[in-house]
Amino acid sequence: MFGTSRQASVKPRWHGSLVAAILLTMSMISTANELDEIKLVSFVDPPYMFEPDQNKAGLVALIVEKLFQRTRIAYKLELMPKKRAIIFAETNKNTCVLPIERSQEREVKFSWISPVLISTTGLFSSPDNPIKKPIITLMDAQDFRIGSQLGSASGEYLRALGFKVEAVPRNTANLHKLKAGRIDLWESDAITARYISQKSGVMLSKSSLDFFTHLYAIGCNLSISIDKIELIRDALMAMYRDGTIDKLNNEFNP
Amino acid sequence: MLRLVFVVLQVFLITASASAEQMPLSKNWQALAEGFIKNEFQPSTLSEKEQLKELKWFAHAAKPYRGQQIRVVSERIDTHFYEANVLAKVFYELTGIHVVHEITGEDDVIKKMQAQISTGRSLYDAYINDSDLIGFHIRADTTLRLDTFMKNEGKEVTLPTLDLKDFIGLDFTSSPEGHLYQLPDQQFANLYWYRADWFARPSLRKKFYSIYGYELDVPQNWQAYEDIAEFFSVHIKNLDGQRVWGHMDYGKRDPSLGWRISDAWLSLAGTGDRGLPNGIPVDDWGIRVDGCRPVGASVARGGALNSPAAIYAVEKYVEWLDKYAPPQAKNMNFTEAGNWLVKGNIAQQIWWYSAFTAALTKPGTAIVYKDGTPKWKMAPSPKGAYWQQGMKLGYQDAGSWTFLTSTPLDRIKAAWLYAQFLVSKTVSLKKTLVGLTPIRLSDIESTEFIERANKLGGLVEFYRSRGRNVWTPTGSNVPDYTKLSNFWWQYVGDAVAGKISVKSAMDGMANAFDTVLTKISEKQDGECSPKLNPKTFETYWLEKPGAPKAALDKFDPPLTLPYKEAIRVWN
Repeated sequence: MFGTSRQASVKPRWHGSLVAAILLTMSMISTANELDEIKLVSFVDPPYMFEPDQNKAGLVALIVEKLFQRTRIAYKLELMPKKRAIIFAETNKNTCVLPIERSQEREVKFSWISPVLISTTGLFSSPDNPIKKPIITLMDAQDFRIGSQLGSASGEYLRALGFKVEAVPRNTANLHKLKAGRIDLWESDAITARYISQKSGVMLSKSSLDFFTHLYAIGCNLSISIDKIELIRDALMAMYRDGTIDKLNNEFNP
Repeated sequence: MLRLVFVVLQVFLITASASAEQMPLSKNWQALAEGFIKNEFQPSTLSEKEQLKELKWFAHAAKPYRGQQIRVVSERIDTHFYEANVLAKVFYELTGIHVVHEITGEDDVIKKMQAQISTGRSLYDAYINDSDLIGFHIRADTTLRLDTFMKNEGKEVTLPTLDLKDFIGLDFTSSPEGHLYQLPDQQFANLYWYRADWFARPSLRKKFYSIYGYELDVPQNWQAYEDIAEFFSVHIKNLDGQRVWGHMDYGKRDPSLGWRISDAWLSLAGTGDRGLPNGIPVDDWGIRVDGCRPVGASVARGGALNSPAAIYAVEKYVEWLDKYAPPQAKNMNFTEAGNWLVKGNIAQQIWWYSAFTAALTKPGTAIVYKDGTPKWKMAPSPKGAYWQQGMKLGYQDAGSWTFLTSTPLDRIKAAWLYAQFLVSKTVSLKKTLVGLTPIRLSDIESTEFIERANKLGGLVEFYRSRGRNVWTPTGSNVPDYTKLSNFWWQYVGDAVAGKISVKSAMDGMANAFDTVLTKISEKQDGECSPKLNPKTFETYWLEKPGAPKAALDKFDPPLTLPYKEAIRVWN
């Protein structure tokens, strides 16, 4: 789902943009000291997080808004390239990065609040070039050329299993390659697949096989107190239990 | 008149429904099943007729669930790849239930299971989860109790020939009262690994004897292991044109360091009490229980996590890593270190998972002869100084079918059919020969398994011995594995890096455990939730019999045994 985000062309700060204004005014200012404010760093990945000038709040931005409303912890959201965001959160106090996978390599570096996002990766084909073989197990897809986005965890997963994976910088290119028959399948999560399909006007068939579930988390700098981490975590779990997360997800994938 | 028609219709429908179950399966299905029996499921401990009967049962039981898609998740070992790539497809063709069997790291399996528990959202219909979490499962009310499920709502989907008595690992997946929570799917042990060809070389044996005064054979205690490590790393150094080492391990401050120690390293040292599977009342994590209630991990509360035996265990781990392992080992994690044995320059390794048997018996490597027999062997682990007869001696993994109560019942039933298919006698011997992770006694005692012995480096011998009951997973004294497991690598990692002494690390870890046990007691209800003993002088506990044990001032002399005798000890 999340590839390497774009380079320095993404404006790191949202000041002056409409969406930034919405999110900042919606962030709850607690009675606590401004030093208690948490900096959230994230990266552009539509429809989860849009570029500031698109005037849209992505799914992750909406989840964050609701989550921090509940905790009454003040926050500021800033965008930067993904790799920089991860390092930034690791090295700066009172900072969290999202949404990232909680890998073993990263486990020691952050305090974790998870899952902020749950997505399932499927294999999509084009109705113009349907695949002729049913995919019952993942290994049934081994002979197909699979499109992926650079940096995609699912793409890496398939590659490690010996699949023929062709990675491109932008996911929209995968859709066009699919339509042109240059790849047979495209690995993507359903929300991204739907968004890109609608945006580009290229039809997609239903996923042939949803083969992997990814959990994404908020990774927080170790300076943030465990009490604060637990407060945010408890609020997130409450959002699952009362249906808030499902409702937000359904807005993007009805 | 209408009423009569209605009654007749009802009678017809009831009769039709009843006879649907007995309706014969199609000829196509029969041919398909017979084909799978002949081509995929040989050998088996069942006759072909018995196998067909089992498969027919699955087909009938699955009828209400045909067309369903079920999601299960397991860790990344050969056995599960066979299940996901081959068996899931066979199951689909025979039953019409489509299983998406996802393979990922074990830590990811646990995170996903935790996510389902904490969010209440059903992510998977079943998990193949290590039984190390049994303490959590028996206390948390979020895991389906399998024994009652099989008798009640799961009765019509429970295989009549499942034969639970045939499973070797049910003690690991049951509560202390004997209630079954998980069903083992695969098992492997953590054992001692060594280059049998080097140990048999006359020149090396002669030199070893001249230095140490006893034979170079399978070490029976840590004193002998240490001598052998020193021998190869310091006195031999070069063999057959390469630098060689008498020990291999890893020490990077990383989650994988956690299971290096928690997968029963303290039990090898003799930290806990006697009693199987884990030690009663103090287990191999150093946690004391009163009944089933954890009362403390620190010595001051009657636990043994910072006892002299535990400190000795970790001190030896750090010392050997520094002195006898390749220098890079200190900065390696589990995966990186796992690539070393196949290079052929390691003489022995005290902590090694038998799940890697297949990988280390691949022809063409430096550690396998041309005829396919390995140059190495696995043997029962050497014991640390505090170990006593009747104690657990090392770790065994039991990846087990686990169902959460937040999963809808009809989906649990469909997934339960898949689970039973994978462990059924129709399938299990073939699966064991593919993945080398036995779960059934009948498979272990089969001619086909026994005949593989000379190609499997000691795996068959171990599983045919009573050692299979003495090497055990983490047990029920641990009330929440995931809340406690991170402390292992955090504290021991600091000791490896030299930031703190081992004693400080174990003291810190024991206190951290006690703090978390207190927090768990505030959230967990029930007669098995923690309730800490008050703190007292450590001498109060150290002077009592059993764990925590007082420091030894004398150690037994090193002891080795020839391989056949080393195995016979456990027969």
